[in-house]
Amino acid sequence: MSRSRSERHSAQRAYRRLPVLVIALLLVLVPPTVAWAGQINYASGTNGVGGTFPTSGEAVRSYNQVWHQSGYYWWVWYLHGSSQTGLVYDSSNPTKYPGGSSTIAYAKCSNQDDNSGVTWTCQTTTP
Amino acid sequence: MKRLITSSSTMLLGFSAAVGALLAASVVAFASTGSAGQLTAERASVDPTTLLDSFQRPRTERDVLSAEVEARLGSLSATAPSDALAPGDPVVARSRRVTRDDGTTFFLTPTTRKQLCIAVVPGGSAGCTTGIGLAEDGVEFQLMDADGLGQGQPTVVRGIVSTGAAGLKVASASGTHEATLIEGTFSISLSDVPTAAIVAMRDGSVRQVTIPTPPQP
Repeated sequence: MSRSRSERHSAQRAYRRLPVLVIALLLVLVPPTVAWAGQINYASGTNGVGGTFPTSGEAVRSYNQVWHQSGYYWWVWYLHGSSQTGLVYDSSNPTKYPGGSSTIAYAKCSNQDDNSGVTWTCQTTTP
Repeated sequence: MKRLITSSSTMLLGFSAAVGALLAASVVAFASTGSAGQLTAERASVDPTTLLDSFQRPRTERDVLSAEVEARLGSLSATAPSDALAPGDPVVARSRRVTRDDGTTFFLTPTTRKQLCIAVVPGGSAGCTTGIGLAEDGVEFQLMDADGLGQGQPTVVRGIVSTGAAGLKVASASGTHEATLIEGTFSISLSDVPTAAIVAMRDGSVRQVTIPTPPQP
């Protein structure tokens, strides 16, 4: 009788702790999921002067940037249908348009004269 | 007993949050690294601060970085996809601040890798230079247009000129437009498409950097 009461008490205690375990699991899983869904590398390479590189699809973006060797000019912009927004031309590293695309758009980067031999990487965000 | 359970729950949640944060940081680092092999960048030997008027005067209290800009510059090296592209840590004790009449502020900060990081507020980005363009062309600039060239909002051309520059003009279809230089910085807004940055040097020479047509959308 006493043993049965003890087992029931243990089960109740475990049941009470279930929400805590669920929250703990969410705290582990949610941050990396959010981080993964945030920034993406949509193009990377070496040299390739004159090349233009787009994302594979459209999405609402938070920023668009390319990391590259300083002193070489790059373009970044968003493409909505046939119009450009968020256009930046710069030689500093990273070359970045810090604003969002507002509506769904392709993010693009284009190498104006970077033949430095240093690997460049274009990055943007997905929701 | 209840206190013990509450305490262990708090510890579990705290531990989970810490693990989650570490995993998130790892994911961002992995995503930023990419898969391509990295080459070692050759560092320019020029120190950009030797070529900029802002650094030829003593530093004052008003040159202190804002907390937001310091955080932005401090995160650049940590988020660079490779060591070759990391500009180095900002040397905040050497920063300069130049505020222009239009309200634009340039924060100029050298780094431990002898680069110069420039953050423009409001609305600008933060990027770093090794000063190659400053030495070769007398100017380094950024073109920014939120709604595309030739549309409603003006196109902004801003940047820095070397100590040897006496003046700077930006050419466009409508003519040439004189930019005001303040401690080696400039910022000019144009309603039409800029085509070149023209630097008049103190020695009488003129240097011109063409602004190309943007790539097809």
